[in-house]
Parts: sequence; structure tokens; C-alpha cells
Amino acid sequence: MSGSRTVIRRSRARRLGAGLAASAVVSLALPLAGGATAAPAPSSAPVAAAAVRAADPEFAGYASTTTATPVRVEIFEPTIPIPAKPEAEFNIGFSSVVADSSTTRGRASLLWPGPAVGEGFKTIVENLGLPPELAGPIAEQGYPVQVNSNHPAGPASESDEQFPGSIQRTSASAEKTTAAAGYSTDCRLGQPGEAPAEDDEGGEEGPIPGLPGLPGLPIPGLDGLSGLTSGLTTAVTSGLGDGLGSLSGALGGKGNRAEEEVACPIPAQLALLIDVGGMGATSTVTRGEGEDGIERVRAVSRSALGEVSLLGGVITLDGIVSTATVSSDGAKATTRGVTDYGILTIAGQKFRFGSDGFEAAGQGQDLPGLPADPNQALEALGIQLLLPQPTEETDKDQGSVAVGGLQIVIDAGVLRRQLDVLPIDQISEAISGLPFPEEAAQLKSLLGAALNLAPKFVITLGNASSAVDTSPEIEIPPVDPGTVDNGQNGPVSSGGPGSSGSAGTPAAPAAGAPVDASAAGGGEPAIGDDALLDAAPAGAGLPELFSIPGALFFGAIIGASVLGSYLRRLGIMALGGGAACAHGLQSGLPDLRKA
Amino acid sequence: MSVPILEIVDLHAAYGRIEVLRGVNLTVPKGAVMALLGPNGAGKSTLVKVISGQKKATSGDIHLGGVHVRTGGPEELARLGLCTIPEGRSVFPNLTVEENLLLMSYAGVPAEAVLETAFAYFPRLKERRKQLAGTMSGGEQQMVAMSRALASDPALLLLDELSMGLAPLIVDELYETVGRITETGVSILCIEQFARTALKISDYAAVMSGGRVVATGEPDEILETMSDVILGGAA
Repeated sequence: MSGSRTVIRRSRARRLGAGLAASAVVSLALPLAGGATAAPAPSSAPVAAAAVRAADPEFAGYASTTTATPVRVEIFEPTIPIPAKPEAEFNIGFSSVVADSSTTRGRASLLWPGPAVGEGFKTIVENLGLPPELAGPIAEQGYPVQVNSNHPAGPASESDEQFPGSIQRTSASAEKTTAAAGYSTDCRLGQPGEAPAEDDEGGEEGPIPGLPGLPGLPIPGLDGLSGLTSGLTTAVTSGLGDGLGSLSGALGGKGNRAEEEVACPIPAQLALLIDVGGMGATSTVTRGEGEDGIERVRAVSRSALGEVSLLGGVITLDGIVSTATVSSDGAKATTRGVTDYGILTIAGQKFRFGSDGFEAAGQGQDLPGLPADPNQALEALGIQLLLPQPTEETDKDQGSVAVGGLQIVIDAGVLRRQLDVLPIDQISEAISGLPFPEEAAQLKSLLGAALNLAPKFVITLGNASSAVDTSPEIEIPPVDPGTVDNGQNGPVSSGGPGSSGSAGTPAAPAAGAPVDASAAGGGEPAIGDDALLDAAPAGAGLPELFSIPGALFFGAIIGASVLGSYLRRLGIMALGGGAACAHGLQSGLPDLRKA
Repeated sequence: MSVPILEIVDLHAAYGRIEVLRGVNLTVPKGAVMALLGPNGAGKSTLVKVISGQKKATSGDIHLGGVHVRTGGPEELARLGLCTIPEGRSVFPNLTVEENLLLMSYAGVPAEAVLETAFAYFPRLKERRKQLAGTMSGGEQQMVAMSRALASDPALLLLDELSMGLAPLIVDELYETVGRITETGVSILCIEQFARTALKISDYAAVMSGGRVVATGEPDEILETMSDVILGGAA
């Protein structure tokens, strides 16, 4: 990539300052919030956490994928010569992380054309028929609008942000791999992996990273009051804290946070007043211990469209935000997928309309369905508006969630049928009658095909999906030295199928050959390299067939060839070889000198 | 009417999916010289390959001396009197003239007879009998190739592009020899791209274009009617 791989510089002083300020406020607010239910036991928690931390993790390996894209346009048109379904695809803002125990890879792209074009860009360019001098350099660099990170192969991080506010960055490490693409005037997107809470919806959703959420006042029968108090405490801790954090960051305060950040060309003071995020896609996979000391793999993807933050976050407006979160500790996976279709947050009070219903000041209500009549009218035009529900699946330690926001399906075939009144056939015939040169024959056929195009467009806003699966540790059976033969008593192990290949349990060959005496000299049971036998003869359950099947196979082919040849000759002799041809002449080979 | 030495009926042949011969019909009377003319790519050389057994036809019939030839490799046909002089002459450049000629003795012709025939038609070869064939001129190499063919006592001679790459004087000389060969009763199918010289010694002529024989007749008729259309003035 030719873009700037910007070295991350600016600290997150703003957030740190917000954390400090909010902590001070929270320490005052905690008694107000009713203390007894909210305050954790300060003395016992660290001990318990330390005890859990000391325990081994429940899993040895993991595999996780997470993808987010705010706008995905899929085009289904079989005449497009790309061997993929859909035939064409555009993701405006795309982030993806594919991670497992050995390798993690992150990818961010402001405009990702799907894997068929994005991954196969080199092949496509090479087949365009361009001059090699032109196609070579273009194909060599691959699809240009993307950044990739890879651990451990590298690069560990990469960014390419060509214009102010654009975000296209990714970083990979063993513990955390993240990718982000989008646009925001503060050059930051929601960092969904930062918040440690299990059920959060992204970093921007939580009040301040590291700050525990505060429950509402538990006053029975006074729901409204409960919501009010809850909103109040949240407002105090979230809105004000965030605002203070923004302020301190804007004033140049420095924190201890070591994480680096890409330098933002837009003044931070502007972001304090108003922060406009056009769209953003973030994907993060983290592996590490949570606050409870249990090691988890956590995959979070978040796609957002139309985010506006005023006065340092005191008032926020979100368009469509989809979040897919999967977490697994090796024993149990938890998933959460939600889409919000409009969030207004004022001083921490949230008013939102999401896939799970409507929420205002802490009060929830089910979501009514879309009205039927407009939908039917749109369907007559080949347009469908869908509100897909999140798909969540969990199976013990395995979990996956896929979230899609608003989905618009445009079937151009319906509209195309309306065009049948037009003289399209005559146009097609006119095109076919045009005197195209030979070199433009392909163009001519494309023009003819273009009249019959009827693509289907599927536009999905707010896509996010995450999946995590963990693998338990492989238990190697303990070695019993007593089972090893000392070389005098013949084979001990039965050497049955399946027992081979395991160190320390040498299996005797089927023929019963004794273990090499040198491997266990003395009468002492010993296990060494010499004592290990080749696993292959022990694992084979059938006697060797040598080359009998091969000989039979090739013998059959040769026999069939010989037989076929003789049958053909017999057929020619019987039916045509000596018979007269269609012109009444005898067949054969004449001596021309005597003719 | 005597039986023609060669009769081709609706012959088709193809290289893979590309059909080169698309229904060739041609008759060569016994003892006659037939000039087969046509532009480059008309299918003339492919027709020679099919007649001589080097390439299989996809359909159609070949009659030799009134017998329908269904199968037969080039070596069998050569033994029976069908001899081909391929384009490019195909002499062994690292052998002498004499060695090139004596190779025919392996086909059953006595060495003395081979040399006698060759030197009778082309006395110049006797002067150069010890010269490496590759160091000779194109016309002289063509003489060696023709001598080799004549040594096998052919009944039907297929001459493929005899004049290719040769100076006009040498071409005239070679065609004079062809005329002498015809006096011995050998039938000749003479494939030529440059037609005027070939038409001088031929009894009949046919014109191929696009894998078909588009005209047959006397040489004068062909020269008069087809030169502008098919030969493009190249004759």
C-alpha cells in the first residue's frame, strides 16, 4: 500500500481524563444510587479474582471471525462474468478479523468489493487485456483500497487514511486484533472490544471504559421514578464524564495510557463541539482475562451509520448501529446481537428504536411491525423493505451471531417486465444489424445482453457478524513405563489399530517382531527414541497386497484393449473391410503400378 | 473411359475443431498431370497429407485406381506406388547426395537403380554426389528429393509446392523434368501456389479455395477465368 502507514502517536488522554473525572463523580454518586445493591464487596473481589486467575483456561485453542460493514450492496445478475454469488458486491466501510490460536488477520477497507474481486483483483486485471506494462504494476499491488495486518507474519499494523477524517486501520497481535474502516471527524470509531462488560454494545455505548455501569434505583412500583434515577446516574457518570474527558483531551492533557493512536488532522477542539461520524465498521477479536480472571475469547463487530456527537458526547444521535458480540470461555459461549435504528442520547438518557423494541428512558416496549399496505405497494414495484432479526446460535463453547439492519431488496426483473411495452426487441435487432467490426464483436454481444439485464439488488444497512469457537486441550495419556518391553519377553503391547503414534506406548508390529533389545537394556524399563517403533506397520489392519490390485487394474485395461482391437478388426472384416463402398468400388489397397 | 488413378469424393478433414477440407471432389485421370492451384490456406497441403495417408479424413472417400482406400498408412501407400514429395524438400542435410539417394535402397530398390534413375533425370547430381545435401542450393535439393521419389517407381506422384523458395529459372528446369516424368506414364498431382509454370505442363487444373475445389478444367480455361479471382495475379 502506498498510503501512509501512520505511526500511532496521540494518546487517549481524553478518555483517561474522562475516566478520572467520572470516577470522582461516581464516588460521590454511589451513595445516591442506593449503595447496598450496587456496591461490590471491596475486600473479597480481588481475592476471588486472583483465585480464578490462577486456574488454567478452559480452552487451549480458538477460532474466531468477525465482520462488519455499514452498507452492503449485493448485485445478483448472472450475465456479469464473475464466478461468484452475488456476481457483484460493494461494502462501503468494511472491517474483518479472522483469528485463531496461531494466526490473526485483520482487514479494513473503505470500499471493499467482496472477496471475488478483492481477493481476485490480480487475476481480473491480468485478464483485462491491458498492456503488460500497465497491467503488471496494477495487478501486483492487489486491490488498492485496503489495509491488512497479520500476526505473527506481519505487518503488525497498517493504516491508509488519505483524507481527513477517513479511517482505515488495522492491527494484529496475539491478544487483540482489530480492524476499523469508516469516517469520523475525530478520526476514531467505536472500539467495541475495549469495554470489558459482557453485554455491552460497543465502546461508544458504554459510559467510559473501565467504569462499571450503575444500576437504577430499585424502588418497587415506581417504574418511572426508577427510570428517572437510573437516567440521572447514567447521565452523571456517562454524559458528564465523557464530556469532561473530551474537554481534558482537548486541552492537551496526557494520560498514562500506552496505546497509540493515529494522528488526526482535524482539530480536537472541533470534535469537542461536534463529532460527525458518517459511517464506521469495527471488528475486534480479543483473547485475555476478563475482570473476573477468566480467560475468554471475545469477538465484537459493530457497524454504524450516521453518528453525531454534540458537546463532547452529552448529546448523541445514531442512525443505524448493529452490534454482534460473541464471547466464549471454553465452557460456555454467550452471544448478543442487536440493531438500533435510531438512538438519541441526552445526558445519558437513551431513546432508541431497535430490533428488540422501543426504549425510552429505561422503559421498553415491543416493536410494532411495518405497515402492510406500503409494503405491498412497494412489492408491486419489486422493492421490499425487511427488518431482519438477529441470528444467534450457541452450542456449548461455540457461538455465532449475525445482525443485519434495514434490508432493501430491489428486484429489477419486476421493473424490467414493465419495459416490455417498449420496442426492445426491435432495438436488439437494430443492434445486431449494425456493421460492427470484427474486433468489436464482444462489445456487440454485450450491448445485446444489456437490454435483457434484470439484476436483483440487495442493500443491507448495518451488517455485523461474529463467531467464536474454542477447542479443549488435548489430553495426552500418561506414560506407564511398566508396559514397555525389556527385550526378553516378547511384545507386550497388542499394537492394535489406533494405538500407534503415541509416544510412550510403542506398539509391536503385527508379525510379532520383538522390540529392539537395545532400546530397553538391563531390566530397567526405559523409553527412548530407540524404543519407538514405526507406527505404520502397527496401524495397518490388512495384510499387504503388494501390487496385486495395480496388476489387476492394468491387466484389465490391456486385455480390454486387445479384445477391443480384435473385435474392431472382426467388425471391419464382417461389415465393411471387404465390402463395396458407397460408390460400388471394392475396398482395399490397390497396387497403383498395376492399376 | 479408363478408371482414374485418383478420385476424391466429398472429402472432409479437420485440425481439431477447425475444418480445413470441406467436401473436396477431385479426379486425376491415369497418366495425366493435374495442377491443383489455390491461395495460401486453401487446404492444398492438407489434401496431400490425407491422400498420402499422413492424415486421417473425417469423412469422404478416396479411390485409388478404382479401389476404395479405407485404411492404409503412408508407408503402405508408398510401397503400392503413391509417392509424395513434401513441401520443403526434406532432404537430410548432413548426408551427401549419394547417401540421400541410397536411403531408398532400404525400401527395396537396388542402389544402382536408384543412382541410375537420379542421374538420368538430373545429371547435375552426379557431379555433386559427394556434396552434403545441406550445402546445396534449394533447386538442387529439390532435385535430390524428386530423384528419391522417382527411384521408388511411382505410379502417382504428389508434388507439394515444388517451386517454393526457388528461383524462376530453376523452377522452369524442374518442371521440364516433371514433363519428362509424365512421358513415362506417371500420374502427377501437382500442388502449386504460383500457377503459371505448373499450368504449362499440366493436362488439367483445379482451383481450391476455402477447403473446396471451386473450379476444374483445362489449364487455359482456368488461367483465363480464375487468375483474377483466385490466383490474385500471383501466377
